[in-house]
Amino acid sequence: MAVAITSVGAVTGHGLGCGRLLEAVLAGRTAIQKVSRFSCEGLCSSLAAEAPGDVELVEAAAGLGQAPAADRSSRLLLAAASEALRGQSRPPSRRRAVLVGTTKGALELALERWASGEVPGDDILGAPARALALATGSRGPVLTLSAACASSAVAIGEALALIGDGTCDEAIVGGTEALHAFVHRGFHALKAISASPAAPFDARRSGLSLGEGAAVLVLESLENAEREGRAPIAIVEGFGSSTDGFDQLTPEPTGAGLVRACRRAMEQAGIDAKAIDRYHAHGTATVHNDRMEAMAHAALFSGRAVPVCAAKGSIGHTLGAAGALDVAICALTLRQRVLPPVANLRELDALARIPAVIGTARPDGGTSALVVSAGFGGINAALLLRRPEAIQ
Amino acid sequence: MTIEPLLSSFALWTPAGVWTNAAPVIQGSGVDLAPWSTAPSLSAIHPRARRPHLLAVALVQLAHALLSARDAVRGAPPLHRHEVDLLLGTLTGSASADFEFWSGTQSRGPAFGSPSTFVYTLPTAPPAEAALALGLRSSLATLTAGSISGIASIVRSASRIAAGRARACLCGGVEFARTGNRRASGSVEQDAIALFLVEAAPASMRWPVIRDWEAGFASETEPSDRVADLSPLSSLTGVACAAVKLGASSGSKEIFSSSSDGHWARITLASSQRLDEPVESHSS
Repeated sequence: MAVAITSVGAVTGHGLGCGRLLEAVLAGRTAIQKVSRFSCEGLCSSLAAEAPGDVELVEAAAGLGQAPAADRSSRLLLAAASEALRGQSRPPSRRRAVLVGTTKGALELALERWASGEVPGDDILGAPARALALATGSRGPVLTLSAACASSAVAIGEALALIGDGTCDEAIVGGTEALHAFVHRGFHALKAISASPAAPFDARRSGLSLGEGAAVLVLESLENAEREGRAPIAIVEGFGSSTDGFDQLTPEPTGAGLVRACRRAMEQAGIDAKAIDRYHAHGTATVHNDRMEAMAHAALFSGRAVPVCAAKGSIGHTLGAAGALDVAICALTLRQRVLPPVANLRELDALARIPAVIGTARPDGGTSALVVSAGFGGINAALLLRRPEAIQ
Repeated sequence: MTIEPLLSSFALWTPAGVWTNAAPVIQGSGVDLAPWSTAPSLSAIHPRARRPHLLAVALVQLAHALLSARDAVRGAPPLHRHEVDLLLGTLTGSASADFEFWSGTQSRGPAFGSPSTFVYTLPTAPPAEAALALGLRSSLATLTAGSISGIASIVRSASRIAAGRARACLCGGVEFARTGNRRASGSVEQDAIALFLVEAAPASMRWPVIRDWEAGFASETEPSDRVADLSPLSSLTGVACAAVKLGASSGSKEIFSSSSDGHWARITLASSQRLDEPVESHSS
């Protein structure tokens, strides 16, 4: 089942909109800098990629005609949705679903209640999806998917299924994650965040940098897109997922679980690994992840130098939003026929030797891409994207 | 080709007790999971476990009980664990672990949060522990749709099986807000774990068929035409009771559930030998 991505919106550390994101990613620029919203005193890193402030987010989402959201994750999501929907709300439809990937949802609402000795009664995880559903007139399934750092990749996979099985013609799919002191302190406790900006696959990298942001993609059946006169940016042809069964925190070192997810995506698309032209890596800049992905790349492509892109050196690790942001970046750069460089990568780790795009963006005539996610709990997800011309 | 999703096994752990493939009796007492004196020992079923959260332990134990019961069914096709998807509905998510981690940083200082607790601040950490323990290697996620999250996970699992995207799916609802002497979330009244195994299997097994399924959303200003605001536990109990009844007699039963914030879902269970029976509506 092939599904068209017909519109994209994004909010990241580079600001509002896909334009700013794309410009920065193609220039290899990083948004990772000193955190301004909370104190990082005593923590092993004070760096992260912060998105614009709440006032800017609320203004950006004003066209959707909804009251300002109560939590930052929803505000990020609605700002991204406003771009994806070109500021327009849509008439109600039971043939439209909303799927949102997030790991913490509206966590701050719970934190506020706990701090005042109360018990939160709200749907903390589901608040952003509900806000998006109300803003988009969606009367089909409205689901929040959580799968650690693969959350929004899994949400896109579920959209593929809903459109594929005929339940919906269209799915508004999002990924969102706000930066909280809570999460920053947690990654500090795990000793996973770096004192310097994340540098995926680099010999000197020392861990990840957190980020926040959201991406919203409009996915629809090819027939619906044609009927509505919406040109596809990219086609999602396959989705696969798997679980390592190795460890809660560390990926299976050989990458076997990730390879299984990739092969499922390729199988669904009816495409062989020989037909893949680019690999958009999860690329967290942790030693375990990067070396696992290098092994997975070698196993998948039998040593073929399929170019590797990765965004987390530029926008930080946005956790539940990462999959959707990676798909957005990949879809837009695939359309522009360009391979973005891996920001902050200078010298490849000798034990993670992959054909990464280093330094500057370069032209690319390839038509198909694998976008992968690998999260805690050993959860893997892969999506197969193609340029629209390649299937027409 | 459409494959019929069958509900082959289930297991419930509630404040009133534990049931595997038997009709649960839900009493009004208590909010925390009942003691389970005959629970399988974690060290026996998950020797690699390292300080798992209470919810993860409970989920591993109940999933083990369910899969053991399924393996013991005579004449059933083998269920290869690596083919089993995990898609669990949850409204509370990781609220109890979130609260514990937050409390730790409040009392010990921001730089001294517990790493082993932080691991469980992901809603997928307990199911990932079950995957680790029980050899499940297929897809894994949680799904949230208000108080109908558990039913919605059955809806989406049935769809996966029918479309041939999965051979079997462990779904249902997981709600756990216990944190010592305080509850971390008031979004559910009682803790409960209700697991259902939906799978593609020969009709000769005579397991209840999930004949029809649907989920949707309606805002407050546009209410669903059928309102049945059931708690997560009562709607999943309804599924379990219907499965038991339909395993012993012919007929079908629709379970409809909606939440006050607009989510709704319905499934129709039917005995596998009488698919043309009229549908009887369920209300709990």
